[in-house]
Amino acid sequence: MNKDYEPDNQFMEKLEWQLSSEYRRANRLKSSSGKIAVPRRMVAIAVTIGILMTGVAVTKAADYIKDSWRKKIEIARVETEVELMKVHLESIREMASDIKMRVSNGLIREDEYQAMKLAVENAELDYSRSLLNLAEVKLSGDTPRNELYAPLVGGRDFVSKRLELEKKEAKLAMEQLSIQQDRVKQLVEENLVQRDEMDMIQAEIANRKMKIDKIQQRIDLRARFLSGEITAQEVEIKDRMTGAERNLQLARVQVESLMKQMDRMQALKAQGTVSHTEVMQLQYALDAAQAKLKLATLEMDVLEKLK
Amino acid sequence: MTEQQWLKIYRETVHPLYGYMAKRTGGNRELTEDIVQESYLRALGTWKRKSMPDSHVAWLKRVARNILIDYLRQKRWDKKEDLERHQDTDNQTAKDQFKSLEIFLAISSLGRKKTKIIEAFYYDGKSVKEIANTMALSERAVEGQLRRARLSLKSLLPEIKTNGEKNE
Repeated sequence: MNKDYEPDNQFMEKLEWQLSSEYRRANRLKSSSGKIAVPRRMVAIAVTIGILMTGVAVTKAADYIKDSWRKKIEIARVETEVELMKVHLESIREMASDIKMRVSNGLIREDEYQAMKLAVENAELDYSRSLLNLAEVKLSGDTPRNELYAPLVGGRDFVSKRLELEKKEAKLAMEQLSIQQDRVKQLVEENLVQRDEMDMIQAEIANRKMKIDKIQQRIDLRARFLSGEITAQEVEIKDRMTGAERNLQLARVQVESLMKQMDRMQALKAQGTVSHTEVMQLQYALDAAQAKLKLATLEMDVLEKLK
Repeated sequence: MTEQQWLKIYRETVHPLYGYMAKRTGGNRELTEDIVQESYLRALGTWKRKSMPDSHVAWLKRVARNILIDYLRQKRWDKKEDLERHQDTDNQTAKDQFKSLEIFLAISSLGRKKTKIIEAFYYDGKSVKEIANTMALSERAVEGQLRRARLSLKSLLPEIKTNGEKNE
């Protein structure tokens, strides 16, 4: 064997040491699926702060009259949430700067850093939302309310502000999907992945667009309620209608996408490149999507009658 | 996965992974080491989040290959400059390594089937019969694909001769 094709001992030892350290470092980070890892130490600090705050609030609560202790405890709870979001944000910023360094040596794609940047922006939104909740709790002394017909608190409209944050979040998710779409498009052109993956991302993008539209509709409804144009009951029915319409559209998009996949799968089955089991799995998914579509249609009918 | 298991996987896979990558980089030690290291870091991140793959080495090879392709595509704009630099130098090894990377990038753009066959034949040293068995094709089909792949490579890389010899 050519010695150029064999790793040298120094490299192997160094790499083994590095992988062992990385393993231990990764284990120190509490990680769960779909969530960004937060260092255990930071979580411990945050939890301690939380416990202390809740503890202090609970102890002092006995000295206050009923309304007062409720308010104190609620504030302590939301303050803990703010602390946790802050730690989360700092941790994600740290990870993003680490990834940026790895991108600069050309071993990680730029789009992966872009995804991390979006995660930072998401964490910033979560932090802003927790600060908003805290401001509301301090004014109202009660849990933040999210109903579209909730009254103003201290002359401030917290519901609309939270909806605006939700909209920003949905837009960020769209950006992330667009990055993925570009990458998958390139891979499809190079025959490295199946066309189906592109269809799935497109369906997801359509889904996100609808979500953004729905949030905008809710913002508009809230504005109409605050201006006195519609009553609380009308807001509730219209809001439910918007949700039901979205469910219906989503179910339609999903059924269409799955039907397209099914056509392709049948063609591949005829060529003998996919198994019967794979076709059956897709059929089950299609049946479930069609059932959802029926349910969404039914929900729309009921709401139409209420209106 | 415990730390012991993780290091066991590393020790079992590092030689085949390194050899696989070194053949594709033309023995460029620095690049091979960087890619091997990055592949293990990705494995650690991914395997902890998702389930472990059936074949560790196959997963690592696939990821390493993708990292190399991404790396070369990212460097595509520097290609002309690199070529000129290597032409000026007397260092034959550097020139050969540069050519190897050029060839690998060209091979990776041939389409899935041709790429798989040509990599198995030239880099992994498999015979036509072995490739035919692995890919469930006839030997004639494999030979046909190899011939067409060589023709495509000639048009992609007119300055490099593809004489059909194996890369041992």
